[in-house]
Amino acid sequence: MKWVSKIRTRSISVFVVHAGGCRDCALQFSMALTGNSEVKGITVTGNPKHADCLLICGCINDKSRKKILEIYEKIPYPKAVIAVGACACSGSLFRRENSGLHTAEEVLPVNSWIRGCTPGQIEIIEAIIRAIQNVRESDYKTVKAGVNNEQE
Amino acid sequence: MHEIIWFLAVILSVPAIYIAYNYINTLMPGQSRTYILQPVYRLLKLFEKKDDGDNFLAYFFSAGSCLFALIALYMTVSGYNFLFIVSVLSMMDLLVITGAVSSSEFSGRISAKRGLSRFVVWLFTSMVASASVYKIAGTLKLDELAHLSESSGLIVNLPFTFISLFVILLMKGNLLHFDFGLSGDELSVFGDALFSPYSGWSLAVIQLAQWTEIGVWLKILSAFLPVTKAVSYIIVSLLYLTFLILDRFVSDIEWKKAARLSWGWAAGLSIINFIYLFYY
Repeated sequence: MKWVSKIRTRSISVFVVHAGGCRDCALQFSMALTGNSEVKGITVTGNPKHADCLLICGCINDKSRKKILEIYEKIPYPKAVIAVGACACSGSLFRRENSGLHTAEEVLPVNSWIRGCTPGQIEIIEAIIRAIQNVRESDYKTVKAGVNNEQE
Repeated sequence: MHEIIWFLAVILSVPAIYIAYNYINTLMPGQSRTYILQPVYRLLKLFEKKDDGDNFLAYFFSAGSCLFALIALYMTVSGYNFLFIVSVLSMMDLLVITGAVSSSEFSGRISAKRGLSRFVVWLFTSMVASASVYKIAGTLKLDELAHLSESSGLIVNLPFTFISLFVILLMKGNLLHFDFGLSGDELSVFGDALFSPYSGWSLAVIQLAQWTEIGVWLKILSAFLPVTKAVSYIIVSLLYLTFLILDRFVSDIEWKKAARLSWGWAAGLSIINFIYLFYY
């Protein structure tokens, strides 16, 4: 329904995960929020139970992968995952064959990718709004089954 | 009819306070821009969200707490006895805490502990405050208190009791150390956040219950001022809004410390006022 997706996009709570890295992607996101007067309705939350969107910044190692999965489980549906920056999208220059790094796509179903080092501010905001508008339940069910299998 | 108008006015006034706070927040430099009706959009969004957990009890307890909050509000606008209202609010608070415990999560137990601490503080303060009010007015019925206050002003004899009840209002508004995770601004640690056990639909209902409860306390506090009911309600609401804004923008550490630790002396102030009345 149109009005539901409209309400969703008018109050978006974002949970930012610094998976490991220089944190410049998260800084770009903060600057996009506070420096742009046209962006409205997006807030940062420290509580996964309030969040609508998971923003993954930086390289994902085994340790942060577990935590990201835990946080993702606690976010109520509908939820979107966005990989921000080259590290989260592809591992960037840190990724080698046995480095133990994962891309965001290997961990969770990603709704949007914002490539680049560093990614653009407007692109991050636009990706968040579009991802929340177009989020589907099937993405969530797939990862739920995957996480359950892994725990067993 | 009079009660129903007051009931609706109080229910609508609390979201209006939060909308005003949100608007002022948006005007400040360096803050994220939000829509004017952002608190309402957030509430509607929460109703639409689904919690994946199998915690059915959280739904039951949140609905129960909202029901008790509405009953307490009706009793307040009808001018019932203050202690009856406090007992209904206790029931509401206990349902919220029980719902938190029933989630069987670490965060749920931590929230319940904080909720119990808050419960002890506000209930004890209310008991002492009611004793002081009874000593001065000879009644605890809110409509009689408001009528008496219009001529003489209860706040003149009960200034510390008024402050301690205002501290309860701040505690209920999650401004002090007892955030139940409603505001989303509470302390969190990566992966082991001290977050609320409620989310989605149950969180939205708890949010409604909290707004109703704030309305109840605003109405109770308005019975202390020496002006008409409507004017005193507006004054207390503006005072609460001022405190919300100050808490958001005053970054002075000492001021913050004094404000945020005020729950520690809420009951103490109430006792001081009672002792003063007893001896003088």
